[in-house]
Amino acid sequence: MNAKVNANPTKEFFISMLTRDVDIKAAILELIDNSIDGAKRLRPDGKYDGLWVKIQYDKSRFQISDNCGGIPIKVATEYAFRFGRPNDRATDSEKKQYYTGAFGIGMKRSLFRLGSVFSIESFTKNEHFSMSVDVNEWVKNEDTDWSFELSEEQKNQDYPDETIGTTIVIPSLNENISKQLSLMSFENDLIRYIESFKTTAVENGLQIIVNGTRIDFIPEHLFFDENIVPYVNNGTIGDVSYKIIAGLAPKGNPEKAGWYISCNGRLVVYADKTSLTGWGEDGVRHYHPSLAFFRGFIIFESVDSEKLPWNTSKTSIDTSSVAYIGVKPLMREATGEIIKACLSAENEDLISDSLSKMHPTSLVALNTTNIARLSTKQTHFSFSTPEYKERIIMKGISYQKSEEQINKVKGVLKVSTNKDVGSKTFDYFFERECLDDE
Amino acid sequence: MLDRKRLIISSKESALTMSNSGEKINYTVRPAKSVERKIICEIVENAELPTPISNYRYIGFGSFYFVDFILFHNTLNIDKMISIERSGKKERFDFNKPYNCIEMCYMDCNAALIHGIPFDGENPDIVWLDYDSSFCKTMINEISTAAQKVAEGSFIFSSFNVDIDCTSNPMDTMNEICGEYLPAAIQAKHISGNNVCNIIFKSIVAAVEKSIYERNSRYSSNISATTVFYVTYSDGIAKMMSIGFYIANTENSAKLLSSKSVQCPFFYKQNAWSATDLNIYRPSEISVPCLTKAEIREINKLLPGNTNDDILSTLTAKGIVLNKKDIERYVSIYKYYPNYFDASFYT
Repeated sequence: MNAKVNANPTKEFFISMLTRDVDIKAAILELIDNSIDGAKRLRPDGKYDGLWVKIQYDKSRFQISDNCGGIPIKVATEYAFRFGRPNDRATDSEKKQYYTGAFGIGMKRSLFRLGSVFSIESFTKNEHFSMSVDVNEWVKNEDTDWSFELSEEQKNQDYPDETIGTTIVIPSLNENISKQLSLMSFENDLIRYIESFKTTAVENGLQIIVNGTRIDFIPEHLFFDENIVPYVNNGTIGDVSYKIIAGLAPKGNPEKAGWYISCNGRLVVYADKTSLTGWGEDGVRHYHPSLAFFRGFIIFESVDSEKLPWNTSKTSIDTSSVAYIGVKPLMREATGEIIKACLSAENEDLISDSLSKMHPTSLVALNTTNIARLSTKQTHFSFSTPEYKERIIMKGISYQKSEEQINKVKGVLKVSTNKDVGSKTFDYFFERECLDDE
Repeated sequence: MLDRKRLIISSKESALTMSNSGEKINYTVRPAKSVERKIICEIVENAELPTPISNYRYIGFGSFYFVDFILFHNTLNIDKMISIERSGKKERFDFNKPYNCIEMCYMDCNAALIHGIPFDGENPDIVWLDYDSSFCKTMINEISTAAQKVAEGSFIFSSFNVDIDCTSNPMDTMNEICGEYLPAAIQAKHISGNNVCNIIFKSIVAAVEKSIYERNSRYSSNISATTVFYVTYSDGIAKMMSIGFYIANTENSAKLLSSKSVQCPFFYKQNAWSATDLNIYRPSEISVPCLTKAEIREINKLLPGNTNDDILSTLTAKGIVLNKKDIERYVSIYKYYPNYFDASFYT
């Protein structure tokens, strides 16, 4: 009989692997995602007015509370605090909702990352529970027992609507987390991060409030009218449906140029200009500031959130995901189309100029309604404002000549700038040698 | 538009050529600036510091007049001094240097802080980035860089113009000048001529805090930046703002806050933070009233000890007609008031 090798994971190992590399802002956004999933269950019609998520923190304490329906005790004891998703969890797919909870680890990972003690209290309409975890104590227990214990539970009650919701408190933050949370600039960064990686839930009325500041829904924009129609493509890959919209936006915010990828209403990739989204690959040129007009949006949706192409921390894409591999050539196609239109203008001022002359209503917000409007496939991107049609394509010529020669020419032509030297010598030659050919 | 404003004043010399017929104050003298200089001197002189103030090094933008250099050398006995100048004829600066303990550093401020000036991490500095030009994001970066470089026990001051046009596109304007340090809670409704300084103040404090946090991570230190100075003033039309920090460990920061510096009326009263209530941060206002020498003499005879109301009624009884606001302003800065037009012999 062979000796047994103990390959069971230790709790310490598990926690350290789980929480390693988790960005604090991403961890907080995960907790918000859970609240939003609660809102989706509570309001299947997608209208979240009156629902809120409040985050309040300082250097010693973190709290997130919501009124998004609470967590049923069965879910708490069987799923919410289990690491991973048991196979019998079919309820979400059945309800045909697009949830962001996917891998069964988001909440736990965030809580372990932020603190060594946390407590959670939940009220649904009929049930209430509370639970407290001291991670250090939990780790000390026998490694085979991975359970937590509810400290209170009540069923079959009738709770008033105002109490319904979930509150998570971390009264003891990990030291390096505490230092970061105490920075004013962190609060700014967090608010901006949540704003950028906003979900459509905010658009639909959900209030997200951080230390008293409400997160605004600021949609991205694209030009869309009879002169300029965005690239649109859509389809399904397995259980995942996708929609691609790409086009031009005002150049003024170059940091916003690039690809935006969202999964089930949750933005995962923001303004990407790297090979992740196809730049610099397979015939597509690398991103360059002259392409600051470019905006591309991919919207993935699936009732099986695990099939979506995001990584486990929802901060980027799993590049081996089938859905993403299938969609990437289409992204390159869209990028290529838009770049062609930008480059054929030769002079980038021409695009800025044409775009700035467009009516303000041509700059369309990418909210749910407008995204739904863009439903017809349109894989040829064209851009045909009147000024653009009438343009003369200009190019620059640049060369070096000796200063002495240039000065002599300046004297003869009676000009003072090198630019005029180039321009007038070109005209001189063209008038004498090229006009006869016509 | 903001780029044009930045180019307007890059040295004190060009500032002197600005003229405005509507002014009550003779801009060539800059009395509020002169008062500010003396206040800063008083704050650092009375602080309880890890080493005597005369051991400090002074780094500033001297221009051709070196007024701050002269004051700090004469009053504080500082004899290690560096003046940073980005443009202008070197021969002119060299010629006008009043003392031989002043070294010139001919490069832009950022380069000077990063490689032009040696920072040994032990000997503290008084750094005064007195820009005079319109506030912009690079100033935040340079103040943050200074916070990373100076030794523990140093002071960093900075002054700039805050005449920002907030009427059209206030959010865009504030985003451009404060960058990522603009408090996320700020909305267009919070931005007004009066509040711009508070927003800028909060942006700078957040940036310096982050810079110190990074520094502490690198050196495993426990430094913090204590705000010691936050004033507004204007000589003529241009509204100016100054901010000052003391960069020190916990022990030395506490010593400063219990030293005589705190009694200076312009020492910053520490406040709690608030996300959106910007009115908590009231800067002290340096305002130099226009009074004749005779009027000043009469007020001085009643100082110290008499209230502003008493002074007003006493003077009125003597037939001296002044308004209460001017008396208040004068009394707040009477010890720093230039009794003659400040003119240096050296320049």
